[in-house]
Amino acid sequence: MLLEGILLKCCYNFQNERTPSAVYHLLNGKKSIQTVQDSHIYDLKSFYGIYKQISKRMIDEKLNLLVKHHLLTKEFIPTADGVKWLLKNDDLLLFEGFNGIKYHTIAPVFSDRLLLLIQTLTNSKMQHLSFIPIIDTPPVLYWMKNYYRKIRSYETAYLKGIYEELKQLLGDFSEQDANLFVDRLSGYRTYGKTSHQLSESYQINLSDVPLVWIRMIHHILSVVYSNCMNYPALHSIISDIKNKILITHSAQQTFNLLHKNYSAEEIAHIRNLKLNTIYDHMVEIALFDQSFPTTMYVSKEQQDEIICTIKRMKTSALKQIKENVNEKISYFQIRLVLATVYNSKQHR
Amino acid sequence: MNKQKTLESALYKHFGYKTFRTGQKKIIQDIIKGNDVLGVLPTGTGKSLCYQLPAKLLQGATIVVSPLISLMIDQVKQLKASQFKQVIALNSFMDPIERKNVYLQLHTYKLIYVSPELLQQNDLIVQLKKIQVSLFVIDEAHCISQWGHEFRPDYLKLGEIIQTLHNPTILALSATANHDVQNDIVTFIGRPKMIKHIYPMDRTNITFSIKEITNDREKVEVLEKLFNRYHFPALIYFSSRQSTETISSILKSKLPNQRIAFYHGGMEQVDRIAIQQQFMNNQLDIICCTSAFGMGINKKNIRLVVHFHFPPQIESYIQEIGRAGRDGKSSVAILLYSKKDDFLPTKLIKKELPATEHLHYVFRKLQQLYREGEQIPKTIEQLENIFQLGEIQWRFLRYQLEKHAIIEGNKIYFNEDNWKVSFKLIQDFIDERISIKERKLHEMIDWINEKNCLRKSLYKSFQDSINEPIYECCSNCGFSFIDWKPENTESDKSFGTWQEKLQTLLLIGDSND
Repeated sequence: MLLEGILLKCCYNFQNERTPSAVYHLLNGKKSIQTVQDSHIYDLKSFYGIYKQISKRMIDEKLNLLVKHHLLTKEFIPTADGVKWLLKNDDLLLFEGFNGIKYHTIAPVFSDRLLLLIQTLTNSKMQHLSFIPIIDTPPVLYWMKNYYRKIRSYETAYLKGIYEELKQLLGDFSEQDANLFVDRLSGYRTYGKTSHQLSESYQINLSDVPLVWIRMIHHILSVVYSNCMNYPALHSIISDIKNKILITHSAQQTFNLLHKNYSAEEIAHIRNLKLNTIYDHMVEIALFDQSFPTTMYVSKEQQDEIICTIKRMKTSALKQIKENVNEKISYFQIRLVLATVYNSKQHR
Repeated sequence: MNKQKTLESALYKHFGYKTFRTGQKKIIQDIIKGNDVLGVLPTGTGKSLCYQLPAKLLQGATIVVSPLISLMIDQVKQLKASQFKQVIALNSFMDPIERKNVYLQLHTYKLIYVSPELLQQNDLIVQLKKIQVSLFVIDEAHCISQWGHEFRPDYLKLGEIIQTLHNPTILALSATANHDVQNDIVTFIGRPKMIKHIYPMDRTNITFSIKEITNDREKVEVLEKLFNRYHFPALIYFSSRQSTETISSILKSKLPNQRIAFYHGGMEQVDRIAIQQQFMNNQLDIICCTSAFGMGINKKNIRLVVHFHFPPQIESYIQEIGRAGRDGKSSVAILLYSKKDDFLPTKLIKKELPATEHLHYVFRKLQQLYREGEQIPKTIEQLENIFQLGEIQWRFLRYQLEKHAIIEGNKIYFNEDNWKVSFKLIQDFIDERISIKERKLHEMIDWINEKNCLRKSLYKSFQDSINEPIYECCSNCGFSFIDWKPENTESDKSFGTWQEKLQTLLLIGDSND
């Protein structure tokens, strides 16, 4: 039901201007400027990268099911019933718990590390060192090895800390969600339940289990980050990682050069990249950096013209906007406006 | 005397066991002396220790060829968990970059598991030739023989590879090799001095029972009755992935006091390990599974193994029921049989091998590729697409095509006469394989319909005489469930609020609880 709700919401916001593939890229967290920009323009930032395991096929199946139940039209626009359904279930869907754009990279790392850490410490405390790690991706194992060396001398106290902090944090969730969270954890002679088992125990769809989990992880991260003094045990799991804001490494490099006052053309030359690629980076930067000097690239008049056109045409489709503004205005300028000015004005 | 003592202390030092189990010590002693060994040990008697301990003790590396990738990965995980770290599993699913890195580090491993397909690849052989291989283990050695229940043509190339690796000591292991298969293995390996260590596989603490039933609904009713009476670890075997899921969900609704899960090879690896471990830790009572479950699992107190569907050959049956009662206590193997079940395995057998029309199709496609100057694609997805073959079918066919010089590596060699003759030969070979498998299936069905002692009949092709059973013998010798009263296990139910569960989990070992 949660996945269905998310798909309906995406379709509602996309209003037929994007295909199901765009929904897939959004949930999957595709590292392309188009996807990130979509998430801003259509106000779907919170869903960016929240479901990395999802397949295109699953999305197609679910969308067709929604069409079959008359919640979506054949063009994937929510019907009146679909909109009603979203409103009615607002309390259950808890979309506000997601913050994909902010936590899409850190959430899976935090989740994996937390699961392995609890399993390792509880086993180590019982002097039981032959257990099969539930997370066995090399980077997480490597982190665990080093981290364990640091904390093993006070593992009992550290476990107590995790216990107190999790007890506090899980209190923010429904009883069901808190139970699900605890059931997933592995410890000494206890193996966490699989997604399938959780879906059966709590009568939720199998495809919703990862979403419910990641929603809780996002909430925990937001509390821990804004309040790290009160959650030292959990915060230190991820204190070695910067929560990356810019999505691609390449954009980060462009960002650094812009800060040294190089122009887009100069950067393209220095980095031996196409000018359009640099423009992509700049739009990407503008999406995250509220201090981005949009007016340096688009004059106030041009901005107004673009915004008026968007409002008049009721569209965010680039091509349509381009055809209806002064031909001197470039695609880059439209995208920049869509990413920054229009977006923030709409929200105010 | 002194040497024996060292072996035992090595066992304790490396694996934490104080004594060897039947057969292990003799096999290991021979290996250490440099003798080639054929070991036939029943499942659950610790076959893998026969090479894991020598791997620790011998100079250089031990290579283990094992046909099942998932089993290989599980074993490596368990070994690593038990502090045996210099171990690696090489298989075709590894990331190519990772594999390259591992190849360069091969000398740092004591124990190298490898799939037979990968051993065909030259870049691996080149690397293996650079290191010292002291022991070459052929696990599931019955795969060498076409009389074995799981003939794997890839295994036939092992002979050459052993030579290339400067003839290391050889250990061939199997849990199910009857006389014919044993002879095949020895002949194939070509070491006439090979020492045979054959141990009887009859299990004296297992009682056999066969119940004839008309349909699946009645089978479920029987299970309901059984599991309302008993509460202990149990396995229920099915022939398809789908049925493990559907029947487990039916049983869950009918048996709320039993903790039930399903398990099959189509599940994600994380989930498979989770279910295995939950069962080991007594968090689950009943597993509905396919034959993929159980290998490498060492749970001592499984009291009951049910076959909801029977397997396609006696060998698999013996292996699967062998997971019951490893603690030596009274255990039962029950097979629920309905006449309709006879069709299921027949269909499966045909599915494993390409049919004649399909063979025609593959040959046409090959010719087309040849004309277009193309090669055979490399990934399994592309292969499936082009030839419409599953992985097992393709593996089978690739070996045949290579054998008849139709392909070599990814290149296609066209010669009309050769192709015509080869087509016929491959077709004959397929027919022969099918008829062998059907004969095996009939052996199984004959056993199910046996009127005399089930125990004697089951083991007759594997050993000349059988031991007296400790408990009841079988349903044909008068066993009935009414008289069977094994001890029930309590399930430590972890109910309670999430706060309590969190506390139990995280504050384990603290004195205040």
